[in-house]
Amino acid sequence: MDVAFGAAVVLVALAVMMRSCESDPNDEACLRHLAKSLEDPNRSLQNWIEKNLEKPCNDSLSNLQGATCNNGRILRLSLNNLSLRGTISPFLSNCTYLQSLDLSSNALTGPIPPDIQSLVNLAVLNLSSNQLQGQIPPQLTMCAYLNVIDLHDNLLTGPIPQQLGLLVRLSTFDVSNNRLSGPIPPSLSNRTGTLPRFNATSFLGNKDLYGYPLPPIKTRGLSVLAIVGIGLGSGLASLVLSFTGVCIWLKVTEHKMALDEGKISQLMPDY
Amino acid sequence: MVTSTCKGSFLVCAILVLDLVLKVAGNAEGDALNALKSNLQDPNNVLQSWDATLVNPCTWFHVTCNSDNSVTRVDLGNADLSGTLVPNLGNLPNLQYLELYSNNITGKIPDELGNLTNLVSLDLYLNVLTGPIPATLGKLSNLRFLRLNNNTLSGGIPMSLTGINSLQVLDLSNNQLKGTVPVNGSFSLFTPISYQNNPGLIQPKNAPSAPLSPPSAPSSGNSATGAIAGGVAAGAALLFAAPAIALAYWRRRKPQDHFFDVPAEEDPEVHLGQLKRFSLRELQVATDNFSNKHILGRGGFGKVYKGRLADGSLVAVKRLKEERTQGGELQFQTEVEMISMAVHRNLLRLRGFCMTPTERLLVYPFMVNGSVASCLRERNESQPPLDWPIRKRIALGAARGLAYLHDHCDPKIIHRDVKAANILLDEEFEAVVGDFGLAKLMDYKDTHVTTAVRGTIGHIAPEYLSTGKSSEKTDVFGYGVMLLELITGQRAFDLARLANDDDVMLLDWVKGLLKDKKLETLVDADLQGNYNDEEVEQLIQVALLCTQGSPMERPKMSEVVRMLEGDGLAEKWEQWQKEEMFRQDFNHIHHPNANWIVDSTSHIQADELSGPR
Repeated sequence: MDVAFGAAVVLVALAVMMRSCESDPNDEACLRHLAKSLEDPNRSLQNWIEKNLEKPCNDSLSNLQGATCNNGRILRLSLNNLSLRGTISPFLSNCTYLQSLDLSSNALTGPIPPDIQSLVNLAVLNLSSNQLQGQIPPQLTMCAYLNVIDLHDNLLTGPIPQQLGLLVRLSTFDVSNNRLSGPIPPSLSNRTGTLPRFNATSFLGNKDLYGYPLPPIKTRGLSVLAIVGIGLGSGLASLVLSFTGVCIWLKVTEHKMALDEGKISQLMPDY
Repeated sequence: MVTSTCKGSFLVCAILVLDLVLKVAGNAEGDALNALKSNLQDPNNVLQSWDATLVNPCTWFHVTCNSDNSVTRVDLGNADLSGTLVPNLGNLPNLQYLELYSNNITGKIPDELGNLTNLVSLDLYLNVLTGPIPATLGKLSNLRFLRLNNNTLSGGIPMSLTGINSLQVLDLSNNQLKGTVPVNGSFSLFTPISYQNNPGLIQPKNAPSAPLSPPSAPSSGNSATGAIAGGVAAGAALLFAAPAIALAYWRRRKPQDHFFDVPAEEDPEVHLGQLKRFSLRELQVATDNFSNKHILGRGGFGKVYKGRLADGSLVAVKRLKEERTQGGELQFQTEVEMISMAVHRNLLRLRGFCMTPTERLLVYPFMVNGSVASCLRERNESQPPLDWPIRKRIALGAARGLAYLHDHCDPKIIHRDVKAANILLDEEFEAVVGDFGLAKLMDYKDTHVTTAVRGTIGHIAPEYLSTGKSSEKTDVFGYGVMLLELITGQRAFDLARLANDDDVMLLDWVKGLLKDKKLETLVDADLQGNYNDEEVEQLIQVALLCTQGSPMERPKMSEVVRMLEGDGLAEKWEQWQKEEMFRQDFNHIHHPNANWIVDSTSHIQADELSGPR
């Protein structure tokens, strides 16, 4: 018993010691997967080697290029303008102390992983000037401290999640030059109270994006012509349908009446 | 020599000392660092290299200078230093990194650190610093890293710090700070991990919190668009469907109109034998929309209008005062059909009918000479009275018509209201029996109200009145009374006769006169004596035979026809006279005032008269 207890104490103590000198395993996983998912043709990330990935942070000093540490945790990750390829690993969500993620001006592809929602301390998200595809994950709303969402110059599609307007600290929002479509959420363009409002420059360069502060819908908006078209179309359809229905109904009733009169004639001999 | 050497060496020494003094005195940065060194205890001799006699501190360990020999970095992290910081640190104008973390430095953070306007990183974490965070730090406009965590700093977080736009890393955790965490300015980037373990720090109320479930509210633009599109579509659909709905409604309301507006000849189903089914509009046009000016008469079955059809023929349109009843249409049609089957010279032919949910109309040919009653009693001055031969012909014609109804119709038709007003006269004053079949026609409606005895006072056979059961003999009775009307020109029931103390009922009046043998008072004065006494007597005999109290005794209509043709009247009459003698004696005892039966029974409820059907 005593021996076992002693061993346990030693083990715990060892573990604590290991923990104190080792880096956070979450950050480690995060960076390890990121290093895997990124391609570095120019060998810009030369010190992203196994030894440093094992221990990305030395207290507040970072062993990795582009990473900023504080208290042994990755606080910022700035890998901009390094001609990186590849995708953003969903395991990025393990860097839970991450306050700033800047992967701008690379050649990243693939989607923005919705797993980013786990980065609850994220204040800056700059993925601009890449070739990211897919939708803007609405889950970004879970990153309540987001100050900056910069996604301009990508290949993003779909609508702008309306929920992003709920981010009270959002001061920079740029989705210009993508392939986004649909209406611009008023929660972003016309925010309530003192929250910063985003003007047209945040949304320009998306062919199918419409509504304030961009011009109202052009092709899909309800112009007078569209209303007239809808009205005439449905009207004509209903005209045809209703007259067909009435004609059929009249035929049926006529037939019934004919039957009724037939009955009378058949009854006649009984008198 | 010695003096000269001494002098020389002194000079050198003096120059050297002066130079040193000048150099060090002239290097404020060295002074500042030296002051720091003198304020710190350095158990590990980390600062050993910090030689104040050197020209500048750029050769010192842990100090970095720029090309202008100005200090940019002081790296003394993890140096086991203790003691306090000195205000002189503010004299390092180009200092960018002040790294004093992980030591045992005590005391306050000097306000003068705010003068280090080029400072990029201020790392004082993991020390034992006390006192407040100097508000002057807000002047460090290039500061990117501010790490003061793991000290015992107190007081509030200066608002001036929020103005440092370059701030990237802020760590104030594990202190004794108080007050509210600023969220504006650069501080909006920082999350609670920057402030944790400060028991007195309060997160502002409007701190962001991740919504548990991001509401997926529909974008108002889209919904508005949808609403407009939907509204327009629905409106247009309704608008365009309106004519069809109107058409359907109109045709459903007047389906007959639709079906019988087409020329009837083209649709075999419209024909019911010889019967034509008219449209309501046709008859509305014919009767000038049932104008009161065109009313020919009002009977128990409704008003009769005179009308002119589109083909120019005159018709009498009988508008039955009939409420619609369920299932009545079929019955009406069959009854009408039945009536139309009775085709005879002396029967008013039914030309057609019209049936709508609200209207029941019968169309007869218009009889130019009106009814026997009108010719007898309501004729114009210009119109000659009916002469005797015509009256005989009328009597025979009416009898033939009724005989046909009784004997040649299947089912036989009982008229139930034979009277002078119902015997019409065509262009040749031939009797045409009208209104037959209607009593039955009207009966189907319901069992409570109209099953009353149909007929006209003075014409109703006593057994019909008392039992409600009608038979051919009921018609025979009515015919008999009609004969008396024809002969006398009197009404069958005329209260005016009361004035002369005569019988109200024509039959009784005639009987009374016959008893007194006053034939000439009996015959219509309009005849002006132009009649055959014998024929009148015969006719009266027939009338009396027909009006016998017992239906069994009355002759059948066919027999009446034969009698009028001169066959068998005499025998019948003799037989009757015998019986009448006997009956009168009997009646005197039992029915002293038989004529009042009518009066009294006429007030009896219909149900009681006829009983349930």
